[in-house]
Amino acid sequence: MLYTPAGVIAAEITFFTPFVVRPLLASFSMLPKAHLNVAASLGASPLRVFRSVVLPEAWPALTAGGGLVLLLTLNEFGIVLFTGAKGVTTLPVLIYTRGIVTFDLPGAAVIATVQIALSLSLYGAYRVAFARLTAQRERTGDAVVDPPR
Amino acid sequence: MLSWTRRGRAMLLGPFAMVVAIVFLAPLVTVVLAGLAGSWTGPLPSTLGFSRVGDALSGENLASLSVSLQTAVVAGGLALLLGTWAALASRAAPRWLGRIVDAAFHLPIAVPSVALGLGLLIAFNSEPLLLGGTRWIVILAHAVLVLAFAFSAVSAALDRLDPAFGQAAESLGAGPFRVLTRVTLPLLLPALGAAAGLAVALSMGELGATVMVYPAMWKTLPVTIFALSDRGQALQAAASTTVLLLVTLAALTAVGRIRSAAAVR
Repeated sequence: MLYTPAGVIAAEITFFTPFVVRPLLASFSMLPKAHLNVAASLGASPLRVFRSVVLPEAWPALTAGGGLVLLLTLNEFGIVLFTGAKGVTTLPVLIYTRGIVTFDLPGAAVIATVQIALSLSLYGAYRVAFARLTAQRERTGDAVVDPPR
Repeated sequence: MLSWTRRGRAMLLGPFAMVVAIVFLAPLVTVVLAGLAGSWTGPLPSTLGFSRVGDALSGENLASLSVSLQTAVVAGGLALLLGTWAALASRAAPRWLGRIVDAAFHLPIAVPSVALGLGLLIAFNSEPLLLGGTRWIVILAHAVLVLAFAFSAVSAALDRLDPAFGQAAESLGAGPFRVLTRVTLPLLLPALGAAAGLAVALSMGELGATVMVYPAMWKTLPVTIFALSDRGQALQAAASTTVLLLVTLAALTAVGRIRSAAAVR
């Protein structure tokens, strides 16, 4: 089980879940309990409360955490190396085996360049999305803290 | 709450607790048990004892632990110093320059650590800056990786810092250096403490960049653990991992103590 792609994925889920939980907890702490109670008292089912009250509040944290984890798993090295799965040679492991095990530094550098380009474009997209999200929040204002006009 | 009845809550929490137990607790418990086990051939470990933990705390393994701690302290200190400096400077710089600095300092988070290690290995393996084969290339790699987190923690704290404090001190005739040491840095202390803790934790567990650059005389504990498990000594590796976990927790607690002592003052 451990030496298959599924094993590696399971190990990475264990390792990276906190990176999503932390921002989610922070955004849930901004959500007053009264909102949930009001929605439920107006007759919304738990599923509906979740969909139309909780989810909109959690969405930015979810995308931010998810984007970060996507980037970190792309760059992950230790877990894949330790599980030693034969069929799972990710780019970082390939860089390591080329550079250190077979000592082909130029070859490793070529792969590293590809990987860096991939990671940087993902990171760039993440930063742009995040900046847009925060700008949007500032423009529309946070309904939770804004006084009624 | 989304669920109103006691039964509904139990039905939601039960499966959740099971997932937490399987996904998070089981791996940790397995590592600690394997570290204590004399052998593990059946479904359960047999002859539990502390002999492997004793091995993990002697000879080469102990030397690795000491190397890891020294690397974490030196690299973390360097990163904290540079990161704070850069965060303060990027505030004072023009906006466009501040943005570039911000993006540049976050790069080590975005780039895979193995690629970073390869870059350092190629760049510092010849004159004029020959660091390959010395402990400094490992410390440099750790410092670069941790620097990103130190910078990001300090600049996030600066964002929330009220500039009025510094302005008030300036209006009362304090010079820039005095404002920095008496107003800004004390206000940043909680963030600096958090950054120090993060730096220690990251550095103690770092493998990707270290494995690319380490010389034989400066093996950090994660590298030693990998070598053990690669040689098939999984149980000894588990014992060393348990030690690494405990020492990292102790180091984090120590940093937290210093932090709360500083906060009281």
